[in-house]
Amino acid sequence: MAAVYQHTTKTSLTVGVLFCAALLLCAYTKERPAVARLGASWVGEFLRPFQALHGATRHSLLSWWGDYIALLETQRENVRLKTRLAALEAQNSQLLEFKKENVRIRGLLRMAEEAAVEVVVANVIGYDPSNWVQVITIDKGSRDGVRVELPVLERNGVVGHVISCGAGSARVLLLSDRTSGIDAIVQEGRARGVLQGMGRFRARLEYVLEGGQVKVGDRVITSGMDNIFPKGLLLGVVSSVGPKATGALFQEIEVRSSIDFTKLEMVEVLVGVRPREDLD
Amino acid sequence: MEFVRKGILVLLLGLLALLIPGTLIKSVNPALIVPNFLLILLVFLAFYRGEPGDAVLAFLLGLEQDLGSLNLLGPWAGAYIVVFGVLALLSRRIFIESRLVIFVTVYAATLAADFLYLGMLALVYEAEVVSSASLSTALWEGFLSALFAPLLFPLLRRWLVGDRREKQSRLSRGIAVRRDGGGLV
Repeated sequence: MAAVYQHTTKTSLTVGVLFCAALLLCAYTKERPAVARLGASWVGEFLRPFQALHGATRHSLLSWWGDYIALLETQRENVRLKTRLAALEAQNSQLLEFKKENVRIRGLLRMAEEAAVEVVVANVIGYDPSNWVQVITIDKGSRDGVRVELPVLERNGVVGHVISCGAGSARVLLLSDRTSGIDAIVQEGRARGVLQGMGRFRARLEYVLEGGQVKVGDRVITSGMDNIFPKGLLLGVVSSVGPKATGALFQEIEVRSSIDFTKLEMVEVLVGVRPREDLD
Repeated sequence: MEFVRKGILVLLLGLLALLIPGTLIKSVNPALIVPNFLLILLVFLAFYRGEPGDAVLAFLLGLEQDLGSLNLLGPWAGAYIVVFGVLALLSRRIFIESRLVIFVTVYAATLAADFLYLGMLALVYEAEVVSSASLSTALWEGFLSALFAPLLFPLLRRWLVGDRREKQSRLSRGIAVRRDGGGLV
């Protein structure tokens, strides 16, 4: 009995000490996020090869499925034609993929040129393993010029910003994460607010005063005041304006992001701004 | 030496538990709610081992989860160590190998860990992080984790629990094992 009691005390003490350590770590890393970033980049670099391998395997399997399985019924008709057809379909599918990729990259580059910015195009190779944080992993890191706090965009607008960076991968906090806040302006009425993530790929515009003219369909853009995002990038469109509560100081505005986060494959990291003459 | 070997195995399994949801499951659809495999591992450690050294492993599993998400260390570590502590102390008195009990325990442990995590996050960021959507996410995550747990426990037992001598030493400390799932001492 004494042994059980001693053991229980030991476990309780260890748990108590470790819980205090967790609280201290929270407080410490909130003030010095560089420590957490370093650790996160190690974990990210460790996981990157597996994530990249998974991405490549998935892509190959999907191609294989599209090229062969879908054609199975047709292939039965003629053995000789089947081989020829499968080969052509495989080639065609690959070319179509190249074409799509070409269009996508052209779109990204055109956007970059219009804005006179330098970008690094990256593939999405992983997502946050929990259900509480909206973070993606991309396959470009410090050796490609990516740094912490750089904005990440997609053709249709802002995706988020880099929160930690390893040599060959980086983690991007999506604008819909609960801890994300981006200084924003409603393009039409010029009302100012902060775009706050709500999780599950949703966001709302906070701190917009009751007098501010905001209506459904208005575009919400970056204000450039947060020292991360340049001014004028599209964040989303107002999807609902809540009823005005009596005495409420701020409006309740939900914003639908311009990005479909569930279909995010390629993004661009805005690594710097170039003078227009450099582009010419 | 055996403890170090198993400790490393637990941490590697933890990394695997981070990798599977973040790549395999979420690549199908990032909006899917995924089970918390790390928490299943934690409940297993608390139930089947529950030594003070395992508390350190629980803390490190939490740190792995923290390192895999935001730039903040501690919220998951804190949540996991509390859940581990409660379960380890419970397992001093009750140790039941019923699938239903595993299901219920993992469900409750997931909910507890999620709300402790959100609470710590709210404390640090002074932000409103709990909503009706959080409740629904936690309930689904708990359900999925609880579904997977009875399938994973036999595997974990094979890898992480030592031979009969270890079980005997637990019995000698006053822990009863019943395979019919109904007993306590």
